[in-house]
This record gives sequence, C-alpha cells and structure tokens, in this order.
Amino acid sequence: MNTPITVNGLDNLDISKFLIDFNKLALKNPKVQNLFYFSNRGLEANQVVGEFTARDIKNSISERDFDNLVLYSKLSGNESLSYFTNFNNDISPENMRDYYANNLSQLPAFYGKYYNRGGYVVADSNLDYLKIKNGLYERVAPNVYAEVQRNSRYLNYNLSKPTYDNSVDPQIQGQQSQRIRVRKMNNINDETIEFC
Amino acid sequence: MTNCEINIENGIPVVKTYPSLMQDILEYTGFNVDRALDLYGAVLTDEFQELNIQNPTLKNITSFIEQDSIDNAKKLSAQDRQNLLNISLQPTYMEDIKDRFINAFNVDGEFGIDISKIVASGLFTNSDVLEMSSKENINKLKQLYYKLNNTDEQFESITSNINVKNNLFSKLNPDEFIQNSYDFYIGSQTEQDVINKANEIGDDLILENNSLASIVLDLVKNKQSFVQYEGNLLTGTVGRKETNNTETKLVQTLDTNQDYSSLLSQIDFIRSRPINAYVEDYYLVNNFLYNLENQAADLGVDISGLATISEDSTYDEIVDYLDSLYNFLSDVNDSKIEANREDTIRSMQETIPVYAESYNNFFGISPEFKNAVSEKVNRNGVFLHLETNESQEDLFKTNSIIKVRDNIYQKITDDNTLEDLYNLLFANPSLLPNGVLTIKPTEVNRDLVYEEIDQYVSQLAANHLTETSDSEALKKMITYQLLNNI
Repeated sequence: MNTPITVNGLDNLDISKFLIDFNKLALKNPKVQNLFYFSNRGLEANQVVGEFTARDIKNSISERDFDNLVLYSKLSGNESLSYFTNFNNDISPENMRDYYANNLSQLPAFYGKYYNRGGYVVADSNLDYLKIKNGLYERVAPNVYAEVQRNSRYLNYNLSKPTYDNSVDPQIQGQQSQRIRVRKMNNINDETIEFC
Repeated sequence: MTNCEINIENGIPVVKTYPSLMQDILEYTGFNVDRALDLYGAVLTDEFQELNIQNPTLKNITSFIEQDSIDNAKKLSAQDRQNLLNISLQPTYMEDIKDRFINAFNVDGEFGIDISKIVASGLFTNSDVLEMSSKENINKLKQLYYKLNNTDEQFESITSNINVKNNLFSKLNPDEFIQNSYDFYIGSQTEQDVINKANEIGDDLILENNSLASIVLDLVKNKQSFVQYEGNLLTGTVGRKETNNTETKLVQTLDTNQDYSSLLSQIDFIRSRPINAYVEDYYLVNNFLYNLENQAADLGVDISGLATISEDSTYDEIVDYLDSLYNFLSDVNDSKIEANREDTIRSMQETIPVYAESYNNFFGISPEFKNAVSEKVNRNGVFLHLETNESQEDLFKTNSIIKVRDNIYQKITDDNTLEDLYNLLFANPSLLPNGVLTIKPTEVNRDLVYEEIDQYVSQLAANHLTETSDSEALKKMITYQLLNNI
C-alpha cells in the first residue's frame, strides 16, 4: 500500500509564479543565472548539481527562495534538479495532485480491485491518489476515483481536482459498498477492457 | 611634532596621546607596523573611549578587541558558510575545519596572520594567502575566526571525494570538474585516452596534472551521453532541447500580470533620440541603456548585455531592436487577460516568436544543446533522453521510440508487421525469458510457438492497456523491446 508523502503546513507553491519570480532572481544573481535555464518543462540546471553547487546556491539566495527551489524540484520531478530534493526533507508538496502528475513513477501502481463505471473508477481503496495503467486517479468520493487531466508532455501545475457528478451513473453510489472484484487480464485480443 | 595623532617617522609610528602604549604594541607585534596601527586604532574608537580607561594598557586593548569580536560573533552568515564551503573542498570535517581554521589564525592567543602557520594548516595555499592581503579580507577572516571560536553552530562539510586544484592552486568546484569530464571525456576507455583527448582540446588542468586522468576515467566509465529532446509548448512538436531558447524562456517566465508602462516610456525615450545623440552623447546613451537593463531585470525582462553589445552595433541595429522590444512589451500590456496567464501567453503565440527572433539576432544567440549523461546502454542503437509523462504507447505510436529505462528511449524504425516481429522472436528464442516457450521452436510447431509468444507479449502489453489502447501497437512495442533486449 502506498503512503502519500507527509504534508506540512507550507503554503502550496504556485509553480507559474515561482518560475516568473525565479527568473527575476536569476537576472539579479549571476551565480543563479549561470546555473539554471528554462526549458519547456520549466526550470532546469545546465550542469551537474552535487553537494557543493547546491550549497553554493543555498548560500547565495534567501532561505525562502531556496525552500521554494527545493519544493519546486520535488514537484517538477526534473532530473537535473534532483539533488536539491535532498535538502529540507520536511518540505513536502502540499499539492499532491501536481506532484504525482509530474512524478507518476513515485506512485506505486494500484493492484487492488477496481472497475470502471460511468467514466469513473470504483476501487477498493481509501488512498487519495491511485496510479492505474499510467493514469493518475484522484478520489472524488468514497471508493470513487476520477482521472486527473494532466499534460503528459510538459510540466503540470495548478491542476484542477476532477469533478464528480454522481447523477451521471447512479449505480456508482449503490455499488460502492459492494464487494469490488476485477478479473485479471491475461491477454488482449481486442481493444476493449473487460471488467466484472 | 605635528598635531596629527599618528606620524610615521623612519618607518616607525609615533603617536601623540599614548606614546608608551604604542611602544608596547610595537614590541608585542614584533614591530609589524600595520598590525600595530590596527591595535592602536582600537584605543581611539568611541567604544573604547566610553570605557573611560585613563592609561590603557596592551592587555586592555587585546581584551577590548576580543570582546568586540565576540559581541559580533552571533551566528554564521550565508557568506561565512560560503567561505567555509570553499575551504571545505579539502577532504575534511567541520570540527576539523573549525580547529584547523582557528589554529591557522591563532597568534599568541588571538587572531593574527602568520603566513607559515596558515599554509601549514593545509586549508590555504600560498595563492590563498596572497588574496588575504587586503584589509577587507583580513577583517572577514577575523570575524569568522571569532565566530568559530564562540559558536556551537554546526556546518555540514561536503562529502565530495574529488579534490582538484588548478594550476594557480585554487580549489575547483567538484561538480564543475564532473561536468567538464562528462562534456569532454565520455567514451574514454583508458587513462591514455583521457590524456590524448586533453591534448586535443588543450585541457591544461589534465595536461599539467596527469594523475587526474584516473579520476576522470572513473567518472566517465560506464557513462553515456544522450541527446536531449523536449516538446515545444507553443508548437507541440518534439525537438532537441536547447539551453538558451528565447521563446521557451519567455513562455515560462514572462510576467503578464505587471505593468510595463514605465519601462515602455524609457524605451520610447531612448529609441527616439536622433542619431547624433548616439554619436555625440555616447556615454550618456550607454549609461541610459545600462540603466534600462537593470529596470528590465526588475520586471523579469532579460536584456542583459544591451549596453555592452550596443557599443559594437550600428544606430539602426540598436533602434530596430528597441523597436521590437517596445512592440513586444506593448503587446504584453495589451494582451493581459485577467488572472489567466496561460490564455495571455496563448494569445501571444505569434508575437513571442517574432520578438525572440529579433532578440536572438541582436544578441547573437544561437541554439546551445546540452546532452544528458546517464548509465551506459550496453548495446548499439540510437538512444535519446526525454523527460515526459506520456504513455509508452503514445511515444511509440507518434515517435517510434521505445522505453529503455527512466528518461532513456531508443529510436527504432517501425517498418515491420507484428507477424514479422514474431518471426524474429521465433528465430531468436533466447530473447524470451526461460519458461515462456514450452514447445521447441521448430517449423513444425511454428503456429503453436506463435501462440505462446503472443500470449506472453499480450500479458506484458496488458500492463500498458487503457480504454483507448491500440492493442496491435502495444504488442509491437513490447516485441520491439524484447528484440532489443530491454
């Protein structure tokens, strides 16, 4: 069973604002400007970031800016910034939706019982997020999960919680308390998935 | 004698107020005039005068200085940490650094400069000592000395085992050394390969310290360089990742919620100056452009180097660029859509590339690519680095790439049918794990073997199956992975 990362009280990082502000910071700080650049996936480092470089940056910017950088590094899942995630382990993303959308590999695949119904997944789980078939699902009602609409190619931020309209398929409400079973697929002979 | 407090006579300071004290100080410092003047200067400060000591002694001065330094030694500042970080490039630990630092600067129980002791500490080289000669630097070291003497604060030493000095004996950032090794030495198999490459590119650091070749080799062996690709936010296409793409930077960082009117007014003023103003009031114009850089930086608009580049540009080039900057920022001001930056950026998808082109032309920006370095893939093929959350199925269908491991993909030519691919597996059964085939792959058994292959491939494909999956494409993707031993 996957355990969501502990959430602390830190304000949620607005990634769009962070990128704008970090650019302004870089324009005033040559050390920061030299190390980072902006790609279509957001902020990246253009050289190896190890302990020395990370501490060098830590000493060059304010504590708040550095904490935001650490949080951004966690949220973005960007490989070149991964060393920064070693700092301030007590800082965790408050918005797990954005975090998992960018770091789906950090969420173990859900192998529990589930079935599809009315565009939702009804699953035997009380976790907030599930990874099913490379999709990120968020709990929208007890045992009911909806897929988070994320951009698979770019950095995800400020994603909206999926909406839940139980009037779409009234069967969902009635079936949540029923035993959920799923038949394991051993082969695929057509393009449909069979659930029972 | 003049009315001056201190006169230097025959190289010896002669003072007016406490002449015998100066004599004591000179003897104490071994007639080091600079140090003696520093110590005597302390007696003349307002803080010392407030102590109301009638006939100050040498002891009063040293106590006063030490107390003053202790008072200032509250906690390590960011700069102190940076200084210690630089020093800590030596493989050592905080307590070690602390003790060695204090010992290096301890002269008769207080802060002092004794070059032989400093160098003997092993923390500083002769060139470091030369840099310490300014009064400003000495004051910084002195503050650090007293802080370390009076604080229990911890400083985490770095754990890098790469300790490299250049030919000036200055220590190098180990991360820069690693990056340099990745950039130039990947592919080297022996130390001689490294030295040959160093000769080829003129890397004096390696050439003058051949022993570094083994460190470089350790860093690059089992590593491979991969071309990085990324999707373009404006066009949606996939291309090589650039580290200096102006369009991308603007898309990511343009602050659409601020007012550029003041900056626009400044740009308008300077672009409207007649050509003779650029000639006759060159320094004024240049200074104005420099100020414009700073004002733009406050707003997150990167025109760093405008003043410098303008020195070598024609009037027309400068004004043309300023026109494009003006038009661009005017568009930003006009395109603002309340509280929705993404919509604003989308509405500017034609304006941004136009300005980016003008910027690139004026500042001479050409694309810079940087390869990613990762564990080697021990087989032939075309590999690429791509950070994406796209499903493997979509990447295979749209780009003919198959996943090798996290962020590393292999480009393949997808011109085979699924049957062709099964034929290849049939001909190379060792590519399948033991137990997959229960029947010997012979011509007689071909159909049965195909069924077993298909069953196994289908099982693997099921892990990627979604409601919109193309099962044939998924099976092909899995089979390509098996054939490529992934």
